[in-house]
Amino acid sequence: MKAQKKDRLREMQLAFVGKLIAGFSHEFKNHLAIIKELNGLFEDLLLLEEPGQSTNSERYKKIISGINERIGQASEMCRFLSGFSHRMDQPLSSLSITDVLQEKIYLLRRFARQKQVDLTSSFDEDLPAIFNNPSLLQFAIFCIIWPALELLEQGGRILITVARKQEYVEIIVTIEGTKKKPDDDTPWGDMLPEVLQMLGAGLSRRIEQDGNEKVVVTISSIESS
Amino acid sequence: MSKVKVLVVDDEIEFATTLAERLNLRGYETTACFCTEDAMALIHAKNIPDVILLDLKMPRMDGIETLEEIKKYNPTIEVIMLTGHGGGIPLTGAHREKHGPFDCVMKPADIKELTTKINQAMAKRQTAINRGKD
Repeated sequence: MKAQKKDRLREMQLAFVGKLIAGFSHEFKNHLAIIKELNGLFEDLLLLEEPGQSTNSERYKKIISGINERIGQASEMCRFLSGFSHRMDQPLSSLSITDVLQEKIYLLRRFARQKQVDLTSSFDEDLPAIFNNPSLLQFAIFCIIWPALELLEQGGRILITVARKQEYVEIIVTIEGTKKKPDDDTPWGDMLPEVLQMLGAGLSRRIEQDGNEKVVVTISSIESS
Repeated sequence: MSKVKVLVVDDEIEFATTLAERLNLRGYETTACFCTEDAMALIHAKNIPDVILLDLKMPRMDGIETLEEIKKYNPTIEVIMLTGHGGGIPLTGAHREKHGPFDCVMKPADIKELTTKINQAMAKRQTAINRGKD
């Protein structure tokens, strides 16, 4: 199969995964919306009761509040998942680095929590919008963070700082903590140079004096062919 | 003062009926429809709502097409789109200006946010009606 056809097939495969995830996250939101309305109606009816009419009203209020809190968390998860899935709609688009990376970081936070690694981020406020491949950028960042999560012992820290450097955006991933043998040795990191080349992005890695590793990605707009 | 007439259009029957009941408890006169055809029939029968809460994704005629139909029939009816769609409302520039919704609310929505937007939409409709009388 010709390389161009293979790339097209891969793009369509990604779009297909994206469409399925988008469809399901939309469906989840519908269920959450119904649960939220039913819970809200329960609260409304409880408020209409005369004081003292129900012996369990305080308990009901606590349950309603607990359900609302969970709906809020699940909705946020769906929002990020839905945004993530739509990144695959178009290979190239104008994108906000902050939105694209926050989405990715939010979705990886669950895995960081499981491994008891602190995953934090900081974004400059004046980051420019760039024209590039949002889904591929998310994959590039995944290729840095996922192996780091696999390597770090619990108590480790991954810090992502994103800043404007003239016409570029600089993404610095700092990996701090004791390292161990990874559970999953899929060579995600090996993909990184090729992925970044496709994004027209630069890469540098260095070990600081304190032993922390710094991975620096510089990215800007790409010309559409 | 007469009650604000709201029409909820959503193919999720439980969602539409529960939301309508909650809005009625808050003093609105709310009707629920579960397909766009019924909603249009209701509007054509001169049961003109002040504000319509319209789901974006529905079978057969979707929310965008329905919005255009409503605006063509009576541009003073204000429409608030309800959507669980992460990509937002696919309307741009002139199209949004001419046939666009008053606002768009993400599902699951907060009832306070919804009632605030309904009241704002009603105020806009009232202004448009008064302007027409002058």
